[in-house]
Amino acid sequence: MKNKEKNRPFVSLGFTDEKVPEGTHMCLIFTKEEERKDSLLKYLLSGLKDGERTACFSGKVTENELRDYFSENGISYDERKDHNAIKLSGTSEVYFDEGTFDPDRMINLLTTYYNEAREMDFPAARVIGEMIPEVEKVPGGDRLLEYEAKVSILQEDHPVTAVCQYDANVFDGATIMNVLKVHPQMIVNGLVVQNPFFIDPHEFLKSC
Amino acid sequence: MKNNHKLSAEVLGQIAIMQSVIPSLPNKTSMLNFACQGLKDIPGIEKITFQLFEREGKLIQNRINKNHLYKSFPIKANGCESAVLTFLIRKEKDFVPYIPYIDNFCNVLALVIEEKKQRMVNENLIQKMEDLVKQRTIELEIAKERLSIALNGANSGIWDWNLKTGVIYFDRNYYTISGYDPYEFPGKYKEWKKRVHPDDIEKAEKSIKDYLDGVSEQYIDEFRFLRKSGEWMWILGQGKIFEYDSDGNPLRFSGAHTDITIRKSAEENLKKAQNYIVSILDSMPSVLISVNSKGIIQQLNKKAEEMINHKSSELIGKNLNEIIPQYYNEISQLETAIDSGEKINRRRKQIIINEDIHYKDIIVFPITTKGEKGAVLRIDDVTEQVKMEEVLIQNEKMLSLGGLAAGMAHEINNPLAGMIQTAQVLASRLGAKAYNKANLEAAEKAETNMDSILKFLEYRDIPKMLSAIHESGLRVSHIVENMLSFSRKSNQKSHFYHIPDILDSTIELVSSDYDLKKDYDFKKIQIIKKYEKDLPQILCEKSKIQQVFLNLLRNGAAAMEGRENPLFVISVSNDHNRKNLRLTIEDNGSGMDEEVRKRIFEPFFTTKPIGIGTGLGLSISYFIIAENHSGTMSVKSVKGQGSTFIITLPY
Repeated sequence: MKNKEKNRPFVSLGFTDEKVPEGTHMCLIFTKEEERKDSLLKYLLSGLKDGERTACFSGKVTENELRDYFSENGISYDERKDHNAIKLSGTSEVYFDEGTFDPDRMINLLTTYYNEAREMDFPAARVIGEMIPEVEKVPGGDRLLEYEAKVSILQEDHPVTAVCQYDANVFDGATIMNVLKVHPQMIVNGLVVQNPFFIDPHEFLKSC
Repeated sequence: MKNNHKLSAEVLGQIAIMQSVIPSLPNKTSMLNFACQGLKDIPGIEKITFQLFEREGKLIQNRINKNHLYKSFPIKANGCESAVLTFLIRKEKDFVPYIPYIDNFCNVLALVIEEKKQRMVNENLIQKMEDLVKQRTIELEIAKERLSIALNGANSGIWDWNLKTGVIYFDRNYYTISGYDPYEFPGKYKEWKKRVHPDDIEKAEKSIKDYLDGVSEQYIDEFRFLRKSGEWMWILGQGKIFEYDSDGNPLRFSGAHTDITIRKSAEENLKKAQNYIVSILDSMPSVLISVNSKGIIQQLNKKAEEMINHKSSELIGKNLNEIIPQYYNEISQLETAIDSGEKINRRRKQIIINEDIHYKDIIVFPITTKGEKGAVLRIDDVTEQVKMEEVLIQNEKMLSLGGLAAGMAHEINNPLAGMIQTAQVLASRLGAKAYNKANLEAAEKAETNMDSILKFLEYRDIPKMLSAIHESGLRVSHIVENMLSFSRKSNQKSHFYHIPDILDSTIELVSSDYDLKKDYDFKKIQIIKKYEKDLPQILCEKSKIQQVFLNLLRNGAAAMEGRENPLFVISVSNDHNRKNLRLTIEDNGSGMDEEVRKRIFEPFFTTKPIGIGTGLGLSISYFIIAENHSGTMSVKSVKGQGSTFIITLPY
């Protein structure tokens, strides 16, 4: 951890006991549907409760599900949406704009997202996205690990907290292992674990 | 990852984390790919590959080519199915320290694969079970649906009562057949109870209790249940205990309730129809008794109960012959009638009841009910009808005889008058006026004299004979005079009279009658008068009515001659329904047999010795009552016990 990252406030992920520093890049490998939904909903809810700007890049949840879940927890989805506190987009819509995967475009998007949040006086911003196996088929898809590494680099100056969801059922074990290597932290059995596989993003990018 | 000869903590941590992550991966291939990718960071390794095959043994292969050493690590899963991780080692010295960890990792991987496989087996089993349960559930749902449809068709609903918790499950139909929305009221006993008709609840609860207590072998009951609309419906309740607790007490009591309102309504209508028919039968004046082919009473109407003087409940099932033995002849023909299918008709059968003669018409109708043969015995009491017919015949006879007598009287009267007058002339010429001039001259011409003639007549009793002729003529004249009263219209005008007054004056007249005194001592006869109060007056000819009473009292007195306690009971009552006075004169005299009774009103019929009475008294009385006053006159009598004359006079 670099010095500038040391004094960052801790934020709750919502689905783990431990809090993590703002701007953490977390990998979540899941195999069950309830793991996916539970972590996603709790993560977003936790961010909203703390007044953060939140975004969800996943096609596995609908607005109505968010609306109902937030409503059960005393938060109006529509109201928060009107205040730009939450944004829901499908994975393909965000990651595969015009049918390609461009890590730099994604990094710009995340940078803009975070800067806007700060301009709109949100105390922090978080994002959760689920990658899908289609990434291995679209042009630029082989740059997935590069993207993940660049997210870690982005977070050095723009501490947007990011959780990357990977469904172990649809990604090969080798891909999972590679993905782990570009996430500094991972969730194992519900615990936040410092990733021993993690390769410094700058070194990783040099090797690409 | 650092390359040194010592163990790297990061590498060991990486292996440890891999062991934690592997269980999250879905299958063996994914795990091995994950492992190959992760273990690649172990120092001294160039490449890792894996193979899936079945093989035993730990170290599969160690082979050396020019520059590289290959080491293989087997992954035994389930004893036979295994994979092999093969490491292409670049620097054996760097690699060797990690071999125990790789072994351990491979064991963990094997366990995870084994567990995964077992889990898959279990999941398959569970899946199969779930599929089976789903299938069974679907089948059950279908069966329930069919049952529901069947029950719905039968207008039935299911209930399932947990006697321990008190909760009752009512299915959808249970609610809908009575117009409620499904599950509109809670499944509680009190909810059911408050919807049962107040008049039925006691019986309904007793039925349930008796069954649950083992008093009755089955639960089946009918009661009224409140529809949502507020109307009452009839329910057939049936149920059974399906589960007992360890102490043998009923635990689950389930069954069905069926809407039987239509059947009940039909039964009610049938009952009404039956009651209607029974009412009709009961209102009939005929005695009706139905019997089976063995003469056992099946049913009877009210008139039959009255005749036999027993309730039908006491008579049904008994042999008809034992109940009405006086109809033995007809009952004995029942079998014949039933076999032949032809009715038997017996008219005017005489039955003695309380020493009175009754007339009965008896008809036996053979019937077939539900394939069983039997008969209906119909008995009509026609006593009054027979008597009425007798009266009519008597009237006819009397009128014809009266007319005949009157005609004869007219014819007899003229010669009789000549005969009497001639006899008087003869007596006069040969008696008081024997010595008149005409007689003396006639005797002289006959060369005799009146003294000789009178002596001759005296010697031959001619004057006595003449007197007899005269008396006989007068007697005949009296008879003729009576006979003429059959046709002679009275000159008297009718007036309203109080009949008891006429009766009393007649009794007084009879008491002072000389002839009567001579023959019978009227004052020895006890007379009991029973006159109803406030009797209406009757428009009548007093002298004629008096004549009738006189005849009856004289005849009665004669009939009581020699009796120890002669008694007249004279009663007058008002028959409001028929609007007439009913007068009876009852004596305890010698009475008369049936033959005499039938002829008693005939002219010239008399039971008195010859020369006593003309035989016209009662016939004239009858004529006065029936013809002149539009009334009726009849007599009841039992030989040796007395007679009762009954007169009715309309007002």
